Amino acid sequence: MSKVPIVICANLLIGLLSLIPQAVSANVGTAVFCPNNFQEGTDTNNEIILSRATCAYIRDMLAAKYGGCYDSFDANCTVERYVSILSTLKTSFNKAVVFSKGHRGYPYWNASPPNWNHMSLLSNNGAPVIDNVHILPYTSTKNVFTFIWHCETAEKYPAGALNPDSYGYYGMPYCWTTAMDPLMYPYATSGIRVYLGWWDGSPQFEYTANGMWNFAHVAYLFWYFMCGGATVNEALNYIAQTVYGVQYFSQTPLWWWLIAFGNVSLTLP
Amino acid sequence: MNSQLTKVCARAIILLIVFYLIGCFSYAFATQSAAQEKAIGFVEKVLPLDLTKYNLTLTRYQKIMGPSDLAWFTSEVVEFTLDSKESTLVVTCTVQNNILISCNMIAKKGPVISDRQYVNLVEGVKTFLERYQTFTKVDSNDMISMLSGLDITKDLSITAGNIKFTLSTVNNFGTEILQFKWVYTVNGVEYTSLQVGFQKNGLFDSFYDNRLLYSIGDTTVNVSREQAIDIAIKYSETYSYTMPDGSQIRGFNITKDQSKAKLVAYPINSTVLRPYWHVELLLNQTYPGSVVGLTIFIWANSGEVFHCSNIAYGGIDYSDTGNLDWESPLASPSSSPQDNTSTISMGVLTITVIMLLVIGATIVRLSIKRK
Repeated sequence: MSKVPIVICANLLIGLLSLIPQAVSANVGTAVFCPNNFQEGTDTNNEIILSRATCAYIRDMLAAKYGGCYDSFDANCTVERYVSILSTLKTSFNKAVVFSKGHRGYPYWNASPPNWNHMSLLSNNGAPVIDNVHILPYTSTKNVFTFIWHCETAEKYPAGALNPDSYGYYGMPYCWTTAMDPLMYPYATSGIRVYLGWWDGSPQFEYTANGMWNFAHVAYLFWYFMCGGATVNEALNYIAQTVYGVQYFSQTPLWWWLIAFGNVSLTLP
Repeated sequence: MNSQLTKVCARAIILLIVFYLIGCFSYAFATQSAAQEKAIGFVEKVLPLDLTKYNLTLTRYQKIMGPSDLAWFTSEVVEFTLDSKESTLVVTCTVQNNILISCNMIAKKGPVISDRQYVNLVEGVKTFLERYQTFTKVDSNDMISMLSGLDITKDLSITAGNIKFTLSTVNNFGTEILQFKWVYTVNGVEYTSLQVGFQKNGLFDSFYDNRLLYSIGDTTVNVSREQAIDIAIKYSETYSYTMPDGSQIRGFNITKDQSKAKLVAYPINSTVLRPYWHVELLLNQTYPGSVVGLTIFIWANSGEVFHCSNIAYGGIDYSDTGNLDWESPLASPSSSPQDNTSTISMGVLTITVIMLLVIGATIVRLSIKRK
């Protein structure tokens, strides 16, 4: 028997072994949450299919770039999973990249006193992932790149960081980034982090953005472009040209709807 | 006999892998080179830069493939960094269907070293367009002539024949840009466009041109706005969508007076532009699936509906969510332990481990055979 196959196998083995440290060297931790929500019929069947597929694309792109990506989809996407993954990102990595797609809730709307400052992300079973309870304690300045595709996730900032209410700090931009000093400004070009969220309602993925492009495509293009080394402003201008046929992001309906707080000149870490 | 067969198979597989890899690399190289050539040509022949002062380095190449339902879409991004003692520039070009459609330039450090001086900004734009016309060989004289005597201190809009020109100040993430935009229009519908942006200090910022990317098809408009809305409402009576439990949602109540329709000509699965009505029907309530409206596209010449999708948002209307099935909104997770058993979705690691197992097993098997 020739030694050639053994030599080839051995070389392949050495090559593959060298990949392992890269895959597990955990400098940047990434996570994609997709709590498709079946409560009260909040998502259509098509929306669920699109969300799963698009979030899987995004997870795979991040996994390819960083050698791994935590994911939590469907029934797995509980409050506890949000907390545990965020805790791991905080304690085991130097920087964190997070994408979450789903619905927004008001956790204290029927509490005493009722409160409309605080918001939550709805987990798969409808239980709220509350801004100051389940997110803020498990994030830090390490959360340098965050995109929360739920309703109103660009609101209550900086008010919720500067003037906490009786329940505590509030608003997703602050709770995901802990950015208070310095504050993040919309579409700014300085700072160490960037946070993207929606002012008012976030479009469902099945919603047509323009022509044949829906918002699932918008999310896909954004992350595809980012994972290739682009900056946030380049990615947003690319979407403006590709999806809307205009030169600049400020000329699209997304301007001041999809708000990027912090430094839009940043690439993924 | 068996041994010989194994040898032949092993060699065939190795050869196949080698040929496959060579094929992949040469395809990627050829594609990259074509896009790169376009981009370099643009930088050298059109941009107002003194390239004798810069070292040009390719710093990024990315091919963007459309998702599975838009598999026809591809675009390539080519980024160069231009370095000199005094300044650093980043130039990013996008190539689609082998056509350069956009380019933007960012001064990362120091002043931009230009190869020429202009009397004013309009002259700068004019020279840019003349050089761009030579580069693309697309006649842009009608557009260039619209710059004559232009007052750039105020926004304006001029139409000459089928070309609508607008000058406006646009915000590009904090930088004020003077945008010169020419759009080819027929019966008020906008088709292809050339858009050029300069900073107010005269620096080139970016351009976008889809005139070569798209062709213009039948521009006939036989359907009026009112007719389009009526067709859309009629269509909505037959439209339904499915919920996760399999139930069909249909029978929508439309708020007609809030319906919107605009006549547009964006590409629809083709590079041929045709006018269609983009109609948005608002519903009188939120339907299951958070659906508040319908988007319906109707060809403007035939009145045929060719697209219908839901308008929906990700919020929860709290007027009707009192029975959301959660335990307690105040339940604290602070005792939740850190997840040490998280299953990290490691594509690379999983594949690596599987391959290691296969290779390991092969080596063991081969070693046993040799003995």
